[in-house]
Amino acid sequence: MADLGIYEVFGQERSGAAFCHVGSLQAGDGDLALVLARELFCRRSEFVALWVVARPCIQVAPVAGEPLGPAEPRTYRLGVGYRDTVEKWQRFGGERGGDR
Amino acid sequence: MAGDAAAFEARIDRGELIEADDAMPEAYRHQCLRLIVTHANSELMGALPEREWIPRAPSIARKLAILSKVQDEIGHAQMIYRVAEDLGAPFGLTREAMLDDLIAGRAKFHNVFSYPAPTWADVGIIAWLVDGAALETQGALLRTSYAPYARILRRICAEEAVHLKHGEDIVLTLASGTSAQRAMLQEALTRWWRPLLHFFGPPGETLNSDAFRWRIRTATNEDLRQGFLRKYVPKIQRLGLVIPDPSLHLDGATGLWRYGDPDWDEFWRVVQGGGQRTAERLALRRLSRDEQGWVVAAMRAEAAA
Repeated sequence: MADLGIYEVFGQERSGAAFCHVGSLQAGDGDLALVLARELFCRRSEFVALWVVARPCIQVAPVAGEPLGPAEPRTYRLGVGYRDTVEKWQRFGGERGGDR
Repeated sequence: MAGDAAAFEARIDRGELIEADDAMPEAYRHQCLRLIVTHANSELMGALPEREWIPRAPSIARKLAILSKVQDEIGHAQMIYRVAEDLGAPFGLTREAMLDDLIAGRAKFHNVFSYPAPTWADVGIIAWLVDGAALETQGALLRTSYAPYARILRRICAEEAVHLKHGEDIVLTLASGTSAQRAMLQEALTRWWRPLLHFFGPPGETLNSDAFRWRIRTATNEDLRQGFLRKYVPKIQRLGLVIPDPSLHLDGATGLWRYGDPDWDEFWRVVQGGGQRTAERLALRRLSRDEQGWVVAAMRAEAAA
């Protein structure tokens, strides 16, 4: 007899929200996994939409122990990399930043 | 290996949480497994005393509520066994093996689920005070270092909080009822008081064991019991019920509740499988597994096809 597969369950709490991982379960196939996911995780109308994903389909990045990102700091990807726009605006008159 | 152990200790010391696929000492895996499997077994066995009352619930509303509570407890068992399977995989421990151990009487489950529930008031006391006690324990475990367990506990605790409300409602209804209903409630409390003190396990633990150092557990048995007594003794007294322990009192100097010897020998007898209903309920669990084995067999056949 075959082993049952493991399915990871993702739920969406309201329309437009990100799907979040809520747990996992054992099932013979994806259809049954969805039925069981509703029984296990949706008894109190927690989600408006549900995904089940067979665990072997999930590719996992190695854990680095710190946030994943580029090796070197790349502040030009972030808002903080452009803080001096406030000063730069002052060259054009006025006391505060550009968003007057 | 020594380096791995030091790296793990350093992660724990930094307050990091451990995921299923992370490196961890075998002893950490073992201790987490023992705790988590016992919890799963307790959810599964905990449904049985209440299940006995589904056909006898006093109204349709109560029947629906107790039915859904039983379904919740079985659902909790499913979720927790799933967490235990991932943790036990390196040891080759499957859910089938965990259930085999349970029905063969080789695995532990919670002492309180070995006692009879002879009246409807027992159902109220179980849902209010046993679930209240379970919430103390599980609330502390939300801070466990094993992240998959902590995540599933958040969902479980939310549902247990509803069970507690449901139990409170049954107890309040009986407490405001006829003198016969009040007497039934008092008798149920008297029956359950000692098992409730036992619920948290014996006092006298120290925090220097691996379980606390590794933050698998975060509160001692006695701390949890005191939390329970602080919350529930005043409420029980407010209902005019008598707690069957004349020596129970609040020690003003320490702020701790002092209680009479709850007979720890009885506790050990029960957790080692000698409870009043242990054999009967394990037999029922064995019967359910035999009768419903075809469902799992059909799922496996479908998976193989």
